[in-house]
Amino acid sequence: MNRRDFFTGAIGSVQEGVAALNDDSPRDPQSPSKNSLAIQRSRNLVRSVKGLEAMSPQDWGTKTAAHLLRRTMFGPTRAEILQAASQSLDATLTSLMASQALPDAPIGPSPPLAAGQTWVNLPFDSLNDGSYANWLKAWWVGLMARQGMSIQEKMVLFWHNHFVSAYATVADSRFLFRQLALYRQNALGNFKQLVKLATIDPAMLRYLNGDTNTKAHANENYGREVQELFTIGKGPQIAQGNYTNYTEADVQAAAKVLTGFSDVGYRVTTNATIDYLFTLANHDTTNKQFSGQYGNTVIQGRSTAVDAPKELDDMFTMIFSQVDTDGVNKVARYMCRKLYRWFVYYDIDANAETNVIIPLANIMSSNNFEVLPVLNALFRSAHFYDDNNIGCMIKNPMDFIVGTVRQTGIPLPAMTDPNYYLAFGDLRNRAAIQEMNVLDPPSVAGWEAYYQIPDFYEIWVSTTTLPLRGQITDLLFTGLGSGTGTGKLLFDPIAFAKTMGTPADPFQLINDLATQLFPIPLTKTQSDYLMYNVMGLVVNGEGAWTTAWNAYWAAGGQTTANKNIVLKMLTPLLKFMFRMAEFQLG
Amino acid sequence: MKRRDFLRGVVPVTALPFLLNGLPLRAYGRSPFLETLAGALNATDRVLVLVQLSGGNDGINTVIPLDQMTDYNNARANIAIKASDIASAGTGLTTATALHPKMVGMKQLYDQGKLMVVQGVSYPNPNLSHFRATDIWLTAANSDEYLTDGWAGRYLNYEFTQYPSGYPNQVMPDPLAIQIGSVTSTALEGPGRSMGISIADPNTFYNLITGISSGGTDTPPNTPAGHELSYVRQIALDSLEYASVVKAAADKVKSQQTYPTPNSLADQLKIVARLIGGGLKTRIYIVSMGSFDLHSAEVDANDHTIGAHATLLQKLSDALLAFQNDIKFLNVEDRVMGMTFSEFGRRVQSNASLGTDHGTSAPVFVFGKWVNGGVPNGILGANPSLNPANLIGGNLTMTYDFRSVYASILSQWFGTDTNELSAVMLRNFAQLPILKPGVTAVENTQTVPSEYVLYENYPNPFNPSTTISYDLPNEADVVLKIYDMLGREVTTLVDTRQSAGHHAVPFSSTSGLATGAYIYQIQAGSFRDRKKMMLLK
Repeated sequence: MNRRDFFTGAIGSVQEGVAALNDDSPRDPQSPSKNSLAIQRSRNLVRSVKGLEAMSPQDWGTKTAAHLLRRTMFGPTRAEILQAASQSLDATLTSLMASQALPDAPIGPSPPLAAGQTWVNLPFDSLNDGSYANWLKAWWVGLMARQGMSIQEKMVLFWHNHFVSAYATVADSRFLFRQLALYRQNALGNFKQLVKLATIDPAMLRYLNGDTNTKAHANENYGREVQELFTIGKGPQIAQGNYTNYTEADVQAAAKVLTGFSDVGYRVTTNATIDYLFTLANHDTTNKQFSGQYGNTVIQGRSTAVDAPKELDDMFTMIFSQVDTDGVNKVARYMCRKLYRWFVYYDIDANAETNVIIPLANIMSSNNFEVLPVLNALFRSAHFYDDNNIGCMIKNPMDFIVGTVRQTGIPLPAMTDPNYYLAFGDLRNRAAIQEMNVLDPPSVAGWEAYYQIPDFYEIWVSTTTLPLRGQITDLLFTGLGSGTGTGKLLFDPIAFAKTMGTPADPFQLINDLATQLFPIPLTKTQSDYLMYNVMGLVVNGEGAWTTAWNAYWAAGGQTTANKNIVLKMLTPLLKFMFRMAEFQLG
Repeated sequence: MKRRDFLRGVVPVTALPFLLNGLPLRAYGRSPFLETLAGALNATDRVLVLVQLSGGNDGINTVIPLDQMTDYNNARANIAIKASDIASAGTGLTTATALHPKMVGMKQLYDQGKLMVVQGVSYPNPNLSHFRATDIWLTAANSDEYLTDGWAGRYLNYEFTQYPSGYPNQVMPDPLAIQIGSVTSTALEGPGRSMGISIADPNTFYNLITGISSGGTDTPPNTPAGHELSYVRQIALDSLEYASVVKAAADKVKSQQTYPTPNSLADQLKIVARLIGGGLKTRIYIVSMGSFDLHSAEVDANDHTIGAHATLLQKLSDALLAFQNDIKFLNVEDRVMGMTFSEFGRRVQSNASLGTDHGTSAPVFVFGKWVNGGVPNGILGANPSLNPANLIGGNLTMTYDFRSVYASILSQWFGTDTNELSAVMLRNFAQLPILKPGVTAVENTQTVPSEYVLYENYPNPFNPSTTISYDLPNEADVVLKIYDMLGREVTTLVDTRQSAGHHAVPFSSTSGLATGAYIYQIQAGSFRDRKKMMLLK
């Protein structure tokens, strides 16, 4: 989708929202900061006063381990939380950050593809590409759900939300597969390198019209977004066409630098090659004059097919070297704010800016824009694990849906199982209905929840989507999805309860369930309510649960009758807990 | 389309006009077809209240066999109720059968013909586990059959096939079923989903998904997480699809009759009466009371007419009487019937600790204005025999299958046809004479009103259709018009002479009519009134 078209017709709040991505820094008290709304609303909240200093080692335990895994994975299981808590933070981060091999390519579950055959290395199939795109989405959802202890898929989703492309515009599923592979390979790599690769990624060239950006007919789309959304960010408008960090003239100059790139193989039905191409004849070889915001830098025009693409490097060197008046690298600051909103909280208050964002940005710039050192510092910090930063994220639909099936131990079909596409396609659909359709974000700015002031994450939960979430968790008890066998995701409450510490003890059971499912503790009122009103136990008669549970697990006790007695208490408990507001928090 | 589908939601009428498929009903004349329709229409307004007595109620001490006092005293001397106590309480129903002395209220209902006792209700091969037996009662399963959906849920699913997709809607703007409590009952489980909603209290019934037991006692902390938690909870409140209609119905009822306190069943029934009185079209309500599992101390050792069981029975009896009085007061008595049930009765022989162990058959009470109550039909079946020779493992034999009671209610009260009945009940059961003869067919429950009334239109707000109804105590020339807020006439709905009675006129807005408030005004003889309604597109 052409982002300009989107915003031309957009309502004001969207424009404000994009502004939020950029000019909301509290570092400039003079700026008409849109973020002040959010800050104002939360002014009376108790916020973390800690910074990037390392968390005290004795604070590493179940609560902090669960917090780390909730934020970096989709729905950690109890076993994973306990494992992380029992090993050191360092060991846990080593597991989470370990580089991951590329997964097998998606294979279609049904004709026209033969069993086990992928389409991503075949010529374009215009008749079936719509189905392929849905399979590709299902494939990715399945990767999220079946991922082990790793940050990988959350980071891939972060990059997808950052360097947005959408199938609705790109309309060639093979291009998006290739782009996803790029994000996966560079998930924890060098950001500067990734910007360059994303710029000439065939799907991106299509999505932001780089393919039509020529010397004769410049298309400024990518030249704008690469500055406004992908790297340096838009600051407050301080003069006509001047957005603090860049100007309209810089948009035009960047577009000129980018001329000549195009994609290869787009919707080509005769051969399968997909690549980018630089065509010197389409490149503007003149010198590119950037504005005073970039120190009046001139990118020298280059005129050979080998040299001219290097103008890209020159331009990114220029952009990545800009610093704010406080000496902080602008791109690093912009990216660290974005990472903060993805992993910590949406409202960046003065303490977070000064003691988290700035030190993180300094780590990023001094490490030549490597992402890994930044995340390692954040996930070791006292700030990240502060009580005031635990449980304050509202799960996005992928986190909710994928996380729920993952953390409840529901058996998931393997990628070689045709039901894989049915089951995860169903989850993908459900997330899409809740307005998170992976590989089809709403605009080049990504999902609103990560930039839209003042609501941010709260956008995910509405009177429409919240009942849908409850419907999903209810359906898990009878089987979610239209498939049969492994294609239907079926929750086994008893098996799940069995993974708790002392399931026979109803007090302990509720406590353990709450510890795994909720990021914040239940009050006594709530846990009493669960035991006496929801499970239906009576005061001083709590042993009825113990009796029922033990009867079921006694030798020969696994009868339908015993099972039903257990489920009679357990099913309402779990259905209720899945519908509690606490379960919406991550 | 099922016959009743297109008629649902239309207010039942005895008088014309109203439109049927765009034609005035009058055009059909008085045909048998019309009579059937009228019966179906009446059926749609009917309400069933299920009163669950959890724990297994001792039926033998609830409905006492005066004709078998020797066997009765032999089996349970340590808890037996004396005939003299019954006589002084005046709770005898017939010479053979009496209610527990504390059940004065239900005796009063019986005398009014509003209470019926169905004797010896159970099922073949009864199960004596609380959970399993409860499941059997709620799902209407065979003893060896495990069902996940409830009988009431299957009924509602059959009537409202697409639920919850597209609900609430104008045809059924209200919850299909309401459980007073926290988690919906198994009885309301439809295939794959619950057909009901649960309400702890109409003003604070939100705890199902907010996870708090009562408002305000559990304020989230003043942290970012607390902030987001509050937000989600607020959305949870807002998104309870039926929150507004339930609240609106509750708010409409400004006064109710007195209910006994403390009495948790009465508390629940008071809410039910309030919602019915407030105009909810909800078909089924479930309320419950517990603690009937009295293995010990069922009675006081020195005075068998007091003790735990007596307290429970009095609460039940008082609550049902208060409820019946209240729905009469609220003018909805015609629409309501109810039944009590418990997962099983108790052993004939009492145990040494002044209690009884799990048993089988027990009486079911059916109540309401239209039940086949009083003498001579009010007791269905003889007292089960307490003669040791007639017991099975010390337990009573069965007289009626509980599913016969369900099936009779479904067909006689809700007008369920044969096909639907077998789909809901899964097999065929004998019909029992639960309701007065003729109630099912074309029972004209309307009487000539005593005064002119212009009612609130229903539904309101509406889009595109609503129904305006009014009462005429006498035949009158009636003009009913719709105006916009500027006083411009939108349409004339009625301009004719009409007979005394309740009238209902549908109004369908045209596509050209804008969202906003409109006035409907009636002039009938010297009576004039106007009300506001809201078109919300």
